[in-house]
Amino acid sequence: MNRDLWKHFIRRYGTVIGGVLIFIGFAVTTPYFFTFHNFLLILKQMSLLTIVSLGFTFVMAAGGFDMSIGFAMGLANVFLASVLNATGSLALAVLTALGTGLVVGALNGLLVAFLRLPDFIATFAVGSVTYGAKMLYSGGYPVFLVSPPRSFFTIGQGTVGPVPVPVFIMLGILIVSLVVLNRTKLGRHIYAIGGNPMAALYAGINVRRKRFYTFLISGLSVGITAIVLTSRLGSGQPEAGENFLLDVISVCFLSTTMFGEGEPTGAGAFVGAFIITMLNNGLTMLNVPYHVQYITKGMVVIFAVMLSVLLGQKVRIKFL
Amino acid sequence: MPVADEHLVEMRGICKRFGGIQALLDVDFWLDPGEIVGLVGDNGAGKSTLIKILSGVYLPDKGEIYFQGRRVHFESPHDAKALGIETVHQDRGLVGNFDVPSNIFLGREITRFGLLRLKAMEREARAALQRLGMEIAALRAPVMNLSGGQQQAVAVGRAISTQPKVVIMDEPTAALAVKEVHKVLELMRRLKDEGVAVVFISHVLQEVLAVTDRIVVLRKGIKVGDLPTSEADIDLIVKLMVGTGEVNHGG
Repeated sequence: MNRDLWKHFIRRYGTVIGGVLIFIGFAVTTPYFFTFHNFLLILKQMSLLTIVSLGFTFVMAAGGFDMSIGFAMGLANVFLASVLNATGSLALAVLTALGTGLVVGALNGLLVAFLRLPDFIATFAVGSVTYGAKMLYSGGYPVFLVSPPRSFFTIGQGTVGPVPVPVFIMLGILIVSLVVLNRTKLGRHIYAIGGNPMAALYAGINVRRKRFYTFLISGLSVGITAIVLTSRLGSGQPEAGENFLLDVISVCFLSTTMFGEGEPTGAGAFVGAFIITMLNNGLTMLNVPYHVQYITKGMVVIFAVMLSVLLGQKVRIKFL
Repeated sequence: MPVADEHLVEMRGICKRFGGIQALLDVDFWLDPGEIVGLVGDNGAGKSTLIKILSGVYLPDKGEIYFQGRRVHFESPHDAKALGIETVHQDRGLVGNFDVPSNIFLGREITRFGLLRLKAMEREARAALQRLGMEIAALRAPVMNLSGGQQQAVAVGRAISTQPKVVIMDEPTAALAVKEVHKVLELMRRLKDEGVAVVFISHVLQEVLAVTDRIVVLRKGIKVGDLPTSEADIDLIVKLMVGTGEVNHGG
C-alpha cells in the first residue's frame, strides 16, 4: 500500500518534482538564476513556446500530431511583415498572420480529418509545402519593416510595469485554453476522440469536424506566435520558429507524462514549457554550448517518459 | 413516399457489402414498442452489421429504414440517437480514461453558458445508476479501473438515461458474472414494461430464450428465421444458425 502510494505520487508529480530539482540545481550553481529579473526573463522566453504548445495540446489531445507548426510560423512572419509594409495597417497585418496560421491549419485538418491521411505524413507534407512557399516568397531573406506603427513593437517588446507584454498574452491564452480543454463540450469531445475515437463516434460526436477544429486551433496558435515573434525581432524572418517543432514536441511529451493522466493537458503544457525554457536559461548561464542544450532537452524527455512507463502509466502517444 | 405500417422501426431489404464479403443481403427487420427481439447467428452472420446500420454507424448499400412510419436516413450515430435509438455496443464504447459521469454524458454534456456543469452531471449519473440498481462507489475514477460488470453498467446507464424508444444491446452479457447477467436481463424486462423496444444480441441461447418475445436468426448475411420465442427451442435455433432449417413467419 505504502509502495503503491509512492508510485502514485511519483507518477503524478514526478515531472514537477524533477523540474523543481533542476530549478534548485541552477539556483545553487549560478548566481543570477534565482532572481526576480531572471524569473521574468524565463516567463518572457517561454511565452511563445507555451502558446504554440497549447495549440499543439489540442491536436495531441484528440490523438493527432502536427508537424507543420515550425514551418508555418515563418510563412506567417513574412506575410505579416509584407502586409504591414504595404498597407501600414496593424489590424490588417495581424489578421494576415492569423489567417495564414488558420489556412495552414485548415489544410492539415482537411487532409487528416476529412481525407483521412495519417496525421504524421499529412502535416509533414504540409510543412514541406509551407517551407517551399515561404522560401519562394521571401527568397530566404527576412522582410524588414519599413515604417511600422510604433504600437506594433509593444506586442513583442513592451512591458506593463516590469512584466513583458508577451507574458500577458501567454497567460491570457493559457486561461482560455484551460477553460476550453477542461470546462467545455469541445474540450471534452477532443479528449474523448483521443481516448477512444469509436466511443466518441458512438456517442454522436462529429469526430471529423472536431479533429478539424484541433488543427485550426493549432494553426491559430502559430499565427498568434508569429505576430509576437515578428514584433520582437522587428522583421519577418522566414526561418524564425522552425526550431519550435522540437521544443513543442518536448513540451507536449512532458505534458503527457505529467500529472499521471497519460494525456496532454493545458497545465502540463505550461509547466513543460517552463521546464524546457528554464533548462535553456540555466544551461546558458552555466556557459554550456547552445547545441548541448538540445541533447539535454532530449534526455529530459526520454527520462520523463521512461519514468512514467516504468511506473506503469499508459502514455498514449500515437504515431502514423 | 411509401408509408410503412404500424411498426416502430422497420428495415427493408437491407444490403451491405464489405469488399468481397456480402455482410447482409436483403434483410428485413422490424421492432414494435414493448418487445424484446433476440438477434442471433453464428460469428460473421451479420448481427453487428445490422445493428450498426440501425444505430447509424454504417450506411446500408441498399434498403430503407422507417421510424414510426417515416422514411429516415442515418448519416451518423447522432441521427439515430436524435430519434431515440440508443445502442450498447459490444466493446461498450466507453472512454477508458474518463470518469463515470463523463462517459454517461458523453456527447450530451450538461452546460451552462457553454461551461460544463460537472457537479450536476455527477449527481445525475449517480441517480441514473441507482435507478438501474447499480452502485459504483468510485464515480470519479477512470472507467478503465472498473470491473467488467461495472463498465457494462455505465454503458447501459448511458443508453437508457436518455429515455430512448429503442435500445440495442450487442452482447451485453459477454464477460459478465452470473449475478450481473441476471441484472442485465432484468433490466431488459423493465425497459419492455416501459414500452421500449429492445434488441438483444447474445451467443448464449438460453438467455435469449429466457428473455425475448421474438427471435430473428441470421446466417451468412441472410435472415433465415423470424419466429415467436414461444415456438422456439435451442435445437431449432441452432439448426437455423448452422443451416439445416428455415422458418419464417413473416410480418
